[in-house]
Parts: sequence; structure tokens; C-alpha cells
Amino acid sequence: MLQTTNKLPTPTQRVDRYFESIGWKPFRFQRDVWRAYSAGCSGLVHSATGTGKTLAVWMGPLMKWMHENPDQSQWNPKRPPPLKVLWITPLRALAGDTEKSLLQPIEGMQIPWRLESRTGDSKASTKARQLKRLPTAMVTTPESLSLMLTHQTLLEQLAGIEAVIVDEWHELLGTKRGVQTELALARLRKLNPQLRVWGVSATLGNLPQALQSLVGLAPSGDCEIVQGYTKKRLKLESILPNHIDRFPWSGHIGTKMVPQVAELIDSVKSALIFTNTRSQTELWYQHLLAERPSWAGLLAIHHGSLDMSVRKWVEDGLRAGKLRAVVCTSSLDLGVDFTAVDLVIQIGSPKGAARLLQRAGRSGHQPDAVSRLAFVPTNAIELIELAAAQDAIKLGELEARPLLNKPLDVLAQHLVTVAIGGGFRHEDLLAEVRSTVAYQSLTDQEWQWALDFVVRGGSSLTAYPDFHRVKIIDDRYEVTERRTITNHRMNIGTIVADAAMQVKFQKGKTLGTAEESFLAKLHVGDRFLFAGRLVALLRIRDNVAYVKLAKGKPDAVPRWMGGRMPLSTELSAALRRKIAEASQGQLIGREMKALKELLELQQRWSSIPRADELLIEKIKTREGYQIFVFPFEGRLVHEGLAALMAYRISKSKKTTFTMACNDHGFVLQSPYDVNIDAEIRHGVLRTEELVSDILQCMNATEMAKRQFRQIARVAGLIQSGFPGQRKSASHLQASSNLFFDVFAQYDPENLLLEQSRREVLEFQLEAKRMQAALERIAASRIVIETPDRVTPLAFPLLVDKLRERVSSETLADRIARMQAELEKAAS
Amino acid sequence: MAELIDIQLAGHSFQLLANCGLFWPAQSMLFVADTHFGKEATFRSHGIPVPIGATAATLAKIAEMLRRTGAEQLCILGDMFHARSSIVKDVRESLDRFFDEFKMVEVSLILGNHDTHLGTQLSSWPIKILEAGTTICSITLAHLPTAKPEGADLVLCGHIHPAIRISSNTERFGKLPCFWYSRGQLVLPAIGDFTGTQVVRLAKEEQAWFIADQNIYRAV
Repeated sequence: MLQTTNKLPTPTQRVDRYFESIGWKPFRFQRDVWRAYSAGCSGLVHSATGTGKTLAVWMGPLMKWMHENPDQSQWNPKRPPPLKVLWITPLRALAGDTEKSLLQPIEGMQIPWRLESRTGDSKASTKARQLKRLPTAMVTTPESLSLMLTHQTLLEQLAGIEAVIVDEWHELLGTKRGVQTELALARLRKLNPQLRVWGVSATLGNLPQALQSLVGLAPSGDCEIVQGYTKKRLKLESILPNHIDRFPWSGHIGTKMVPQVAELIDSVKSALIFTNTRSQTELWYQHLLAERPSWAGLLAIHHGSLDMSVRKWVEDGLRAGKLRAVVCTSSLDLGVDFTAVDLVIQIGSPKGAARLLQRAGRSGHQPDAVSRLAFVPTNAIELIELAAAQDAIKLGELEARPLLNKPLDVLAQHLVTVAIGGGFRHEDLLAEVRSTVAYQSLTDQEWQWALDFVVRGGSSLTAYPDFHRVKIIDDRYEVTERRTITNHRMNIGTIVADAAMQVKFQKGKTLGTAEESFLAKLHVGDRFLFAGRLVALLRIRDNVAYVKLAKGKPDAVPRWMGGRMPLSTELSAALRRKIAEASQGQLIGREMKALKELLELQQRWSSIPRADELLIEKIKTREGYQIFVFPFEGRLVHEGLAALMAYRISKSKKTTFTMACNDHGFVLQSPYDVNIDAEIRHGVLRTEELVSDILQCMNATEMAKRQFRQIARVAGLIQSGFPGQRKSASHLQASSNLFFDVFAQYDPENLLLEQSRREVLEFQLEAKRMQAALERIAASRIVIETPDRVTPLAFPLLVDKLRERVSSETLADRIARMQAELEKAAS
Repeated sequence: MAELIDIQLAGHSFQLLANCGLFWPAQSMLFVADTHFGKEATFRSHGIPVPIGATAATLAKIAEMLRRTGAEQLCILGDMFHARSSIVKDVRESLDRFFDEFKMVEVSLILGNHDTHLGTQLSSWPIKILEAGTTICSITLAHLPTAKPEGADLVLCGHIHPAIRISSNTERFGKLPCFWYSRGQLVLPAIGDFTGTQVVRLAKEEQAWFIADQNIYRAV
């Protein structure tokens, strides 16, 4: 017995041989993960730049199987083992690449496993075949996993899963897709209490929470956090303008720097150029091409609104090292590594230290290469952000990914999923749901409401006659109606696409999608930049915008939603430290030194706030009285603070404020002089009544309505995506606004409304951050300056044209005033 | 700012009401469009939970306008019911109560695209069905926007659920339901409480009156 096993190579030997064959050596952290896996542990592997994470988590299950099946002569590829491993990827576009990289060791070691993908992109025939017998390992998405849970016949096979591996967990964590994944994992753990769960993640500020969310509150074994390969060197630099403008040139997105950026690209093999918004991507692409016309064909553009075929072409070009540079958004944050890329350029604020680090890691993938990132500020103050980000990285103060707390829309969807997939008894499922981090504090009432919602429509006994989705049969919650099952399967998931329209050439080539709200504002013949070309609108028909190539200058640049991400809490704090240093005359680092003149000017005309100060500047311009406030707390907090201040001041005096915000501060413009000193003494910055005041002033209902879009979609109110369905479904179309109104009016107790208000407070207004900011301000000395001219800090706010307003006048007053204005203008 | 506005169109006098109705004093006739009664019930029957209430609220708006104007006739310009599945018990009861209270009012309906599959269900109530294109005193009634027939002064219709975006350099109010006068057609806003809107853009010679916060305004 002993002799026979001795002849066979051990799994470790086989793996070592495989590594040798590809010219690598296992890292220590990879061996750590394999050991932990074989001991039955779950865990999380993290590192900022990704080499070897995939093999670290993938080898564990392979080695365990080889251990259990040591005799290679018994391995029969015609009879692959049943389902053992689920590999969850956040992007279905990545499934193909992932499959390829997982396949290499299988083939290298001739392991008879069958590996397949199952995502929304998979062929229907493949999916049908898989339903009969699932492959040994399967690459899938959170949505497809939930879908599998609706097939009762699959449960037996799913119960045989030994390990779930969640790739890029940081992308899912803190999102509804992450919560959906947590619930699905809880289900799988229920089916197999011995389930191992491993995550792969970028380095975050809250790794223990990330791990806990992944493995749940009752994991099967010990859990470990393993730090990946860390020796990768990182080089951050900033491209300084030859002459630092006295005023930050915000609003001009720094295209002045194009020649310098082009020179930099000249000096490397291949570069990724990250911008913060899709519109900036289009602009930078045009400007770079104008600067170097010879790059036509070597320079590409990549963002989420482009057609899949265009994106794929770009990704292939990058992989093959054929492209000089690609201008992109976060759309290239994820995915397989492009080995040819040796430089990352970040245009504009990185918004967070972790994000900067992750993006830098997209370059330098050859062994011993350096990850190199060049930062291009779009205004001078952003240079301070880079200096701050470097400090934060050095100190390891990376951002935490805040978790979602029991979103009831996701729970409602999950209840229907489980009810379809075999049904449930409510006390069993409650225990299972509460074993997730997201729902650990779910109350009995909330649980009951979610049950009522899917069974009766709501908690009210009379408001929803004739409604059924889930039925209670002998104490079990089940779905029997075919139509409900089909609808649910088609609408599973939590991704909400903005109302988008296809943009196509007349001859038929699809360029991508743009938001309906943008296209609707265009007139026929208007020229706009899209997918790196200047096109003119021909007509809009059947939700398709037809365009043709155009010459000349654009009349508009598409604005896509999003892209207004605030500076992170951690980076804001680091930024304040840099400013405080500067107030003491300490300019540390190249970036800060470059700003010397500008900072001196700020100091001379006004002042630079110390760590325990809040700077306010008052100045009168042609437009009115301007009050600039600089808390350096990030855009969302400033939006909230600006509205709060305006609201509290206007409560005592009828007026309308207009306001603008950025990551550094905000400005209130008033038609009258405001005695801000007295107002502060009277408590306009008090922390008391924050939530009630903020809900009053931020037009919270409108915001809640917007937030309700996703909730309505997830909870199954809005049925999107009826591929190929007959037109008759149009009588079931209603906008989420309409749902919001009808609930607010006739079922105000509906907890989904409550959820949308809570989400507004937590995510759109960042109420907790605001509270903390106000507390910090309360302990600060208020410095009020009245400079003669607009200061360097204030200038970007003054030129910001995206102004919001807060008014204590009634709607009728405002309409009347507007009518009067318009009539006056017309006569 | 007013709850109603007197207007003159093509030589006729009307009142536009903030509850989405149009009153024609010469004929003592109140017009409304796109009531979509029972839409919420249709949603429920398809497994989408929408609470009851919208139908009753829509009826209450019509009742308020009938009382205010003392109209002797009510004409619904199409899409009275949302779908066949809309006519359920509570919707039926609400309508019964309404017809009971307004026995003296003569109710007529121009069939809309949503009404075509109702079959005989409409006969539960005293509703006179009018052909689209019926003309009373040179005013043509329709559901779908229709070119003004020769000899007619004006077409009254619905179907579009018109709304306009209201804003100036300093203010933004979003989209608000409106009466839309375009090329000899006056399109009424949808009165149904659980109905959406469609934004229309005003061409130069067109007019609109929009509704905000229980008041009606002329758009300039």
C-alpha cells in the first residue's frame, strides 16, 4: 500500500513540476493559501497589484482533488468529476479570459476536470446542457448564480460544491450585487455546511469586514487573510505644468497638458490613460490625436458606453501590445493584465488612495517591473491631492469599502428566488439570511414585511387585492405560476442601466450607447464626440440615434451620469493634513513645492487654514455676495453642508441661494449680504437636527425618487429586459417615479420607500460623514476673511457652472417670479 | 396662479382646470382624457404590487370638477380603462359609486387604444360610446391626435399624456403635465393618477398650459 503511493508523485510535486514548466516558482503566499485550503479553511487573498492571486486560490481545489485521486491512470477526461468549484467574477465580459487562465494548469497537469462558463452571454444550448450536468468547475457571475438557485433540480449538484471563489471581491463588496452574492453564498453553505469560500481582492482599509462578508457569520472552518506578493515597486510622479497658473484652471480639464502627456507616451511602450468621466475620455482622445496625428490607429478609446465589439478590439490590441495608448475610464480598472502596459496616466483627481494604487498596478506586469503612474492635475489644487494620496499610501491608510445594511429590495428578490428554487419554511430561511453580514441585524418586523411584500404585495391587508407572487402551501413559501417564474428569472439581478439609447451609423454599425436624456436635448444636425469620432445626429427612431461622421467642432459632449465620485474620507483627511502643513510654511514633496507661489498668494490675500481652523472667504462679485467655505471633506459632504447652511439661513429670511461645490469646499451666492459670523453664532453649523434639516432642504423627495429607481427594479416592480417579448408587455410599464408616488400616496408604510430615504442619507448625502464634519467644525476656530480678489482656493468654485439652489420661497412664488422674468425678457 | 384659466381657442371659450379637465361652458360639457381606471389592478394581477387608490383618486378629481363647473355632460377622450384585467371588484365599486352620485350627468366615451379589448364590460355603466371624429358645434372629438377635418375649428384629444419641461436661467421645475395646443389640436393631459407623461417640445406657434401644485399656468 505504502509502496504504491510512493511511486505516484504527490500533488505538491505535480504542482511544482507545473510551475517549473511555465518557468515560475510558487510564492510563499501561494503555498500559504494551498495549505490553508487543504486544512479546510476559507479566506481572502489581497494585494494591491495582482500577480499570482489566481493561481493561489485555484490550485487549492486542484491539489485537494489530486490528493484524493492520486492515481493518474484512473483519470478519465471523458468522465469529469461532478461540480466542485464555482468561480464568481464580477464582470461577465471577464469570464472568457478567466476561463482561459484557469484552464492552463488543468491542461498543464492533465487533470480530467471539465471547466466551463455560465453567464448571461452563454449560449442557450450550453446552458440547457449544463442544467442536466454541471461541469466540474464553473466560471459565473452573481446574477447567474442566483439564477441557478431558481432551479430546484440543480440543488443536489450545487450541494456538492466544495469551494466558491469570488474574484475581485472588492468590486462587489458594498454593492447590492455583493449583498446578492452574500445571500447566494449563505444558500450554498446551507446546502453544504463544509463549503469553503475564498475571495480575491485589492487591498482595502477594511479587510476583516470584507472577509466576514464573504464567509458569513458562521463559516465552516477557520478563516485567514493572506497578503499577496508585495514586493512590486511603485513609482508615482506628477506632470507639472511648465508654469503653475496663479489660478487653478478648473473647468478646462487641463488639456493644456496634452503636449507633455504626448511626450510622456512617446517615451514608453504602451500606456493606459485614466480619466474620471466618459466625456473627458472623448475629449482627451481628440486632443491627443490632434497633437500626434501619426497615432491614428495606435491610440484607442475605451469606456462603458462603447459597443462591446469596439471594447473587445481595444482589449485585444492592448493584450497584443499593438496600441500606444488607450484613453479609458474605470472600465479598464478590472480584468486580466495587459503585460505590455508600462505606464498608467491618471488625469484629474484619483479620488482615493486605494483607487490610485489599484490603477498604478495596471502597469508593469513583467517580472521585476515597476508599476509606474503619472498624475496629470486638472487644476493646481489637485496636486495637493496627489501629495496627500502618496502620504496615505505610505502610511497604509487605504479606503474602507462601507458595507450595505440589509437592503430589503435585494432580500425580496432573494425570497422569490428561493421560493421558486424549491421553496422554503420561513424560520429556516430567516436563520440562513441572518447568517450573512448584510442581514445580521434584520428585525422580525422587517423580515415579516419582506415576506408580506412577496406574498400579499405589502403589509396592508386591504391595499393589494388579487396580488400573488409567492404562495404559502402547507407552511412552505413557493411559486407555482409559470409566468411569475419566467418573469423573475428574466429580471434577476441588481444592475440598473440608465435609460440609454443605441448610437448607430446609418449603415448599421453600432458605436455604443448614450443616455437618452443627452440625446433628447440634441437637435438634428448637432455634432458631438462619441466613441472617439465627431458625429452628427441624423434622426432618432425606435430608441436608436442614427448618426453620420461630421467635420468641424462639436456642439456638445455627451454627459453620462455618474463620474461625480467624491474624494474619499481617508484622502480628505490626508488632504487636510497637507494643507495644515502648508499653513505652517512646510511644503513637503515636489508637488507641494510646485505650488509655492500659489499658496503664498492664498496666504497673502486670505489665509491657509490650519488643522484646527475652518476658512470662510466673503467677497462681492457682479453676480452677488459670495461666501466660500473650505471644509475639505469631499463633494457630497459639501453639497449637503451648502444646502444645510443655505436652508438654515433662509429659514429666518426669505431668499434664494445658488451654490456650487467641489471636493475642497463650496460657495453660497446670495442676492443680499449675509452676516455669516452672526449666522454661525446662531448655529447654522450646529450638529443638532442635522438629519431632519437635511431631509427638508435637499429636496430629499426628489433624491429618494431617483434612488428608488434601483430599488423598484431589484424588488421586481419594474420589469426590464423582456428579450423578444411581445409588445403586449407595454401595459405593464410604469416609471419608478410613478411607483414612488403611488406608494407614497396609498401605502406610505411601504418599507421600500423607507429604504430609498435611508440610501439617500447614507450614500447620496453621506450623512455620517457630514455629522463627523460638523463635529470637527464645531471644535474648530472659524476664520472669516474678506479678500479683495477671488483667491486661488475660491476660483474653481466661482467658475463652476453646475449650480444648485436652495430657496425658502414657495413653488408658486418661484414660478410666478420666473414667469415675470421670462415675460420681461420677451417684451 | 389660479385653479382655472379661461381661454379662447378658435373662437370658442373654455376653462382649463388644474385637475386636468377642460370645461366647455357653451355645451356644459367637461372633458377629461386617459383616465386609465384600474391600471393598478392590472399590475397586481401580473404580480407587480401596486396599492389600490389611484382609481378612486382619479374619480375624485373628476367629481370635484363636475361639482365646481356644474357640467351636465362628461366626455372621456379615450383610454378609460387600462386593460381588460383592470375591471376588478374595487374598481367596479368605485365606478358604481361615481355613477350613482352623478346620475344626472350624461357620460360619453371616445374609445381609446386601451379600450378596444374591453368587450361588453363597459355596458355595466350608462356610458354613451362616441365614434372618434364626432363633431359637436365644429369641435371634433378624438382619442389619438388627428388632423383637423375640413370645416372643424378644433380637435380635442388625448393619448399623448403631454408634459413640458419648465425652466429658466435660474429655475428648474422638471416636467409638468400640460394642455398642449398644436396645429388645431388641443391635447389634454392624462388625468389618471397612476399614469406617466411624455415630454413635448413647444414649437413657435404652439401653446401650452401646465399644472404644478394644484395650480394651472400658461407657459410662456
